[in-house]
Amino acid sequence: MNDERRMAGAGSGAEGPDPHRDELDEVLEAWVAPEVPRSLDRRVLASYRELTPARPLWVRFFTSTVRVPLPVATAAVVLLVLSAVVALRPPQPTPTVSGGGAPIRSADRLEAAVVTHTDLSGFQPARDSGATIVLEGALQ
Amino acid sequence: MGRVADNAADAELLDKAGRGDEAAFLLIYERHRTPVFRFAYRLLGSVPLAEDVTHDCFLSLIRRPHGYQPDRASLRTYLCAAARNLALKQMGRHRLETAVDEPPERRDDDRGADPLGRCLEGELAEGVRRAVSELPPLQREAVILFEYLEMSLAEVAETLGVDVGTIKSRLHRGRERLRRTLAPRLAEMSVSRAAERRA
Repeated sequence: MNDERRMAGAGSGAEGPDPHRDELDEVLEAWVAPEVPRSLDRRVLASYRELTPARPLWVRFFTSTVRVPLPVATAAVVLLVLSAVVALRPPQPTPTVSGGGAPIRSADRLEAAVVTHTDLSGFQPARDSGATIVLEGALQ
Repeated sequence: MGRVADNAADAELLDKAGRGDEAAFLLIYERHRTPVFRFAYRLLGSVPLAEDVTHDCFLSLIRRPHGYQPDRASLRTYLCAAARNLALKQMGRHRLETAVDEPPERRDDDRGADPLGRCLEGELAEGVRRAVSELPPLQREAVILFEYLEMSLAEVAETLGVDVGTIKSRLHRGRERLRRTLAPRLAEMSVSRAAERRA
């Protein structure tokens, strides 16, 4: 309780501080006012909307604000900064071998033909598809 | 944030609200609705009348947003002054100088207390409400603003449009009268405190 409040019961100050100040305050606190009714919130908002002109959508788009919790805003800023750093980072230089090692040369080009696709033209099924079991010892 | 900066921020929000910015209006409303409503309720002693006063108070703010001058007072002070004028009109209309038509308020945390304790607290709350309601209007509004809205003497003086000395005098007389009316309660409290100290 500040001095101003403590001295309030003393009127002009001539009578000195109020000895019952704390007890009277405690008794006064027993009367608790109710919370603001929800119906009042709705009523006030409805009246406000009636009173103020409806703004065009583009005006609302450019003048509206969005409230974002601080942790979310901080995380978004950190992400933005990190993305910017990654995007603006200069490209990595080609690694070079320093010192007296062999000079780097490009890999040899493969000259042999490489099968890139197949088809079934010329395919003939096996004439004798009977299976023959050969025991391991019989081959030696 | 300092008082001047707070007032400037409120004035900026009010300007936006006056131009149709609903979010700005809601910010102002949510920030100030409780003190205005409770002030009106304690002056009038009636929830429906306090609702009417609070509603009209915010609507008049939007109708005349430039009536508020941030260099002179805080928006809360301005709104309470407007609520006071509206409440005085209501009093005249309903002859409600001593309104006692509301049931006693009960705190949420009383639900777990014993029935006798609840009953005694309800009785005490009703006694206080009646005592405050029976104060002369000028003393009542000063007591409500200072004791319940926790305004400083200077803020009470700004709200009521008088000087600080007058407020001190009204508060002193109001408190003296409350002390006389609530003397049995204060005596009970002194006895119970003395018993607590002995225990």
